Amino acid sequence: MDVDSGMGPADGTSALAGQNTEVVASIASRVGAEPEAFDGLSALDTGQLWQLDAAIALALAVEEKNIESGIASALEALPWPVRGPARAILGELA
Amino acid sequence: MHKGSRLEIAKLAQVLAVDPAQLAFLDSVPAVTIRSLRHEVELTTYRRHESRFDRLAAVSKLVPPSVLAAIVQKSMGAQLTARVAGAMPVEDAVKVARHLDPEFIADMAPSLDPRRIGPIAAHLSDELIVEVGRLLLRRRQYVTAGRLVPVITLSALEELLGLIGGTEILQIALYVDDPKDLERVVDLLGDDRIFDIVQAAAINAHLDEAVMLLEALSVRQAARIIGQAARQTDGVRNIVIDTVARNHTWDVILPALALQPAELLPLLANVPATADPVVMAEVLACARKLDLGPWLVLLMVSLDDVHIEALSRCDALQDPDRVGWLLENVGTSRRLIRGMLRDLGAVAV
Repeated sequence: MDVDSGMGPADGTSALAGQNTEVVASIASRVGAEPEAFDGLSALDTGQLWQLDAAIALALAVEEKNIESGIASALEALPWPVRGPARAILGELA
Repeated sequence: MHKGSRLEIAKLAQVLAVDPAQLAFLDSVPAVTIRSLRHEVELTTYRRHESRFDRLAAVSKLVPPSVLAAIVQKSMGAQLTARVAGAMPVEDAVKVARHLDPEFIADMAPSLDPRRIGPIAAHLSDELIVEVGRLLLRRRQYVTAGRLVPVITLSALEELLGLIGGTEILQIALYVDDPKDLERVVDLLGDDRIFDIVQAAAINAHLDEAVMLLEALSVRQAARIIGQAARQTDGVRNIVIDTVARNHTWDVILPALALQPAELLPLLANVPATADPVVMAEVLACARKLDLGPWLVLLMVSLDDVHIEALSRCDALQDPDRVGWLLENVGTSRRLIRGMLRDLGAVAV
């Protein structure tokens, strides 16, 4: 008997494909590119795509943190007479 | 695994500051996609923080270069310094770089963008560049060294290559992005160094990648490398040719083989890896595709009895179309070729 569960193999496959599209879009958005640029990533499963997305997100976050702390430390290390002008140039970054 | 993916995974891993093993799952992704991803990640950093880097570059004008060098080394960190260097006017960046410790420049190196720092590197002394290069190699940072090859002056590159062995040269070459830069490296190498590199590739199981590098080189340069492969021991020669056969890269190798002097051809042709009718058929098909018919005569007369036997068992010789092509294109005397083909048991045409 053919029972329509509403979630047959075809539906499951398309749901996974939808998830993969979502993760590829997330990766593309993180790097400011179009998802089509990464069509080759379709060889990966959803878990691997999330893993890649997380690695990129982490690398960008670490760099962000390094930049912020590097700016703060460099400002502290400047000779005091130039700290004011430096703060003026850096504006809200200082 | 996709061709070239392993190398691209290593480059992406460096940009993301993770162990390449963590990205090993990408080996099913085409190398070109991994490369695009790496370029986009690198560009993103600059795009997101461009205004910060520009303003830090402006701040750098407030203090003398020697003071600035001391500050960045003590406080700013290698990664941020590398990013800001790309935003500074070249002459300012050069003045600061001259005051930096080579160890710190080596720390900066993985975060340097070769496209931005090329003009700066061009003004630095060979002594400093070579010292930084040595430090990178001591740290086994081959990916970084390979990426920076385009910005190293020819004289500094020559000096650096003179200081390192075949294995290290190969490791650097594997990570050079642009074939033109790879050609610069090969042009600087003497035949003895190329011999060492081929040997190192065979011993260290890097031949799959090394054969891929051949694809990026001109036929003339590939021929130099194949010539040095011919001068290796029997075992190494067999490993080289077996790698070519496994990777189906005869289209890269045959034009280079065709430039070898006649005395080297038997050394490369008569190895165990080619004593196989299937391999022989691939060589014949590739020679036809590349219109290397006349050269096939030289190849055939170079074969020993074992390999002639393998050739005679080759399916291609039972195909009238292919035998007809051989008859028309191999050599100038149809009578001679017909005789050879008959002796090999080829179908009559």
